[in-house]
Amino acid sequence: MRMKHVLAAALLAAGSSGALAQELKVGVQNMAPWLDPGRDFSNVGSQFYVNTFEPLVGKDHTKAESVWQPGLATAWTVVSPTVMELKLRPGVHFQNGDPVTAEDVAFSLDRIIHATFPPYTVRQRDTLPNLAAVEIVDAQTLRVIARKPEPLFETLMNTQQTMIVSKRYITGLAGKPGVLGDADYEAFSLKPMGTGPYRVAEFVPNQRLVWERFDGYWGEKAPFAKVTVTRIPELSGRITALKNGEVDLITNVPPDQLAVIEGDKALKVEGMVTPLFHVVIFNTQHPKMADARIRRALSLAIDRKTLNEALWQGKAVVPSSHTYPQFGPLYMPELKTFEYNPTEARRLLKEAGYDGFTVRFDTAAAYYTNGLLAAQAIQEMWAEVGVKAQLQVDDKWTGQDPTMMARNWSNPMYFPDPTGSFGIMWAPTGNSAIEGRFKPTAEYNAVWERFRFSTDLGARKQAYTELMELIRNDPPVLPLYQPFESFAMRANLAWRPLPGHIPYVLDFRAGRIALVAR
Amino acid sequence: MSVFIARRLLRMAVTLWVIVTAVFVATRLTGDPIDFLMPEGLDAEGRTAMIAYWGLDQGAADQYVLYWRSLFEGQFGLGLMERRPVTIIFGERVGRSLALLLLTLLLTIAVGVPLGVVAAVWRRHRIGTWVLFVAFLGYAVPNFVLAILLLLLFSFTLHWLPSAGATTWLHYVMPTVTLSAYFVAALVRYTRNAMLDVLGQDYMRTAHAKGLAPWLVLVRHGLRNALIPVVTVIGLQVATLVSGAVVIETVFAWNGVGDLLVGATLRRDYPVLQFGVLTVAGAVILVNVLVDFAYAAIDPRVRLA
Repeated sequence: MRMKHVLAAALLAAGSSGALAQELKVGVQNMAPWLDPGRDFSNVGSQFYVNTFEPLVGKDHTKAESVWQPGLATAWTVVSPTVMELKLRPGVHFQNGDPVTAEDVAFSLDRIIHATFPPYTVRQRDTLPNLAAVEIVDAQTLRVIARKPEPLFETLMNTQQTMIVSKRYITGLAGKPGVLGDADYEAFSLKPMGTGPYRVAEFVPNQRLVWERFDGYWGEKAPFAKVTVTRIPELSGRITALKNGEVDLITNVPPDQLAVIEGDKALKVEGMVTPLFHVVIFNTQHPKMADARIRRALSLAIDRKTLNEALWQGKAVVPSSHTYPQFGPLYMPELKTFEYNPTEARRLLKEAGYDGFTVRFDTAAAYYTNGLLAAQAIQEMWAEVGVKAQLQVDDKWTGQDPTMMARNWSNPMYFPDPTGSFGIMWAPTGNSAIEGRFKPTAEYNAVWERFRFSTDLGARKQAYTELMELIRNDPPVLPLYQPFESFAMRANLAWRPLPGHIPYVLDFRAGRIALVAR
Repeated sequence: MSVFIARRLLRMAVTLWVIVTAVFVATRLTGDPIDFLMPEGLDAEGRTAMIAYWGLDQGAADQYVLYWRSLFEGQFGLGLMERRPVTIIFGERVGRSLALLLLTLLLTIAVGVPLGVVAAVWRRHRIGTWVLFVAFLGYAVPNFVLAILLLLLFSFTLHWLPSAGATTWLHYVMPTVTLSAYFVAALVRYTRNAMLDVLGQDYMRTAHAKGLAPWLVLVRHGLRNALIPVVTVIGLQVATLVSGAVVIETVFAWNGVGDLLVGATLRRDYPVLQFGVLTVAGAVILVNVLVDFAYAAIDPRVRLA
């Protein structure tokens, strides 16, 4: 061994121990400011919950489509279209040693359904508006009651927002003992505690998260004794830390950096097309944008295949409709909702009497990977069909700004049903309608009701087809592509992002990650 | 002495008031944290509830009065993002950042002053030219470029030094060197110029003439007189040092105070920003007071009265 290597080994031993120890070290682009699965909707927070918390209904995350499995509930039946009955798994303990009771489960759901803490009210509105109550039948049995017929009981009981937390633990955290208040929920989000295989040993907001194996876990024990997740905001910093053996796995590696990793035999890349769309949205209520033909033309003028090849090396997926494979039977790629047709775009512009006004396109500088580049390319594509566009680069969200004409955005899949992705953004009470840039018609609302609450699969598929037809003819949105998200790691680490999770989840449970001999 | 201290303290208080007020006004004029914090798709009722939750439901004037009242009660507020007392948020990070700044300051003085003397004494020699050339490089290369070059060499290629975090003493090597480079360069040039001024003085010739050893002449009569402008420069550079640390902390994933302040500025996290500026400004003012004391120690003609 040369002197240089001896020295290097000695220095590294002082600096980090690598993956051979029972510790996994992860470098992430962003660390969450707080961690509470019930109130969180962010891409940053959702990386972490699956290791510490669990929902009632489990899922086979290796498969894109939803294959339900027993979770903290071992069995369930949909008693009537508005009532689901669940049997709790016996012998489950929280990470502080307390047994999981029916009261804890009812409390976990109630804190969102009947929210008093403002951040929970937000989730009640977007995720669980149809749930009315939770009833405890006996020590092992609960009933979840919906307002209208609920075709998505399993899906909703599998979301991050309905993961189970401890009533006794949260109540005792802050404020008056024995009395629940906002201060308790605030304290919980800094000291999160659940039933999963890893307990949070240390959480420093925006900086670091340390998990330790929870030995009292009811299922297969965690493969690592310790997992340290550190925020390394700079891409070059993350890649260097991985190359240098300081971390074993890093997140958020853009496509143009993959060659650096792939050129090193000690490292490898795992990636996946993420169930999330980068989209272009139009303000349908802006006087200049009111004519649907103008928006259709702008949509038809964008060559998404070229964007994919130029910006994502062809690794992203250009969708034909607002649909993901994760929807299972409701995945409908056969719908041709969005297409590229510049000739038709020119015709529509002429027909609508486009008078040469400038379309303002808002984009953040660096929020979406390739976002600014895509915006510049779209500006050129619009110019090709004769539309003038002006880019406005600002990190501020302008979705509710009446002067916004078009901008980029993302539509993530929050749970695997069109309700949990298209619906969050484009339902009659979704984000876009509430922020005033999308005004659904009476017809649209009626079709949505049919789609959302039909318990017959065929009826739901038919209604979604009709919804997409309405969107096609009067478009408020154009999904550009599903980005390809890459993770880089040591070659001896067997880990990959799984299609059954929502975007960005770092699943380090048993069977999901391992060290392999080389 | 006591009059001097009282006057300095009063001036310090007024400066702090001006700074805090300027930050208070500037952050509110340039953006609203609600634009950055508010979850998307909330109706009017939901927005109102969240605005009250963050304590942003009062007018700017009321917030200003409330802010000063709580300052006098020793309360610095909760960070809008993290919902924790800003004192705790800073407490977690300040040690690392202070250690980095102090080490940088020490390295800068330990390397910059001797090199400056060397450059002055051997000004017609090749050594002097080389020292100036290296100092020029330190000036010319931006710190983030130097940081990336060091990372590329010592972490990426050679694997000698850790690149991210602040857990061992090895983690301090590259950030300290990077941050020092510019200031060493500055100090070399200031020290050299100050020494050149002094070397031509009559008392230096007198000191030589009375038979003192050359190094004694240089240190006791030369350096001591040259140090006055040099100390002033060090005091002034501390503020620049803090802003340099902001960049370096990001590149080396330091998760320190600089990094915190950048994030707070982008999101208009008022309480974090106000407390941060208050403490950084306080520290810079304090350093300049210490510089005044240093004058007195170096030059007996300066009296603190």
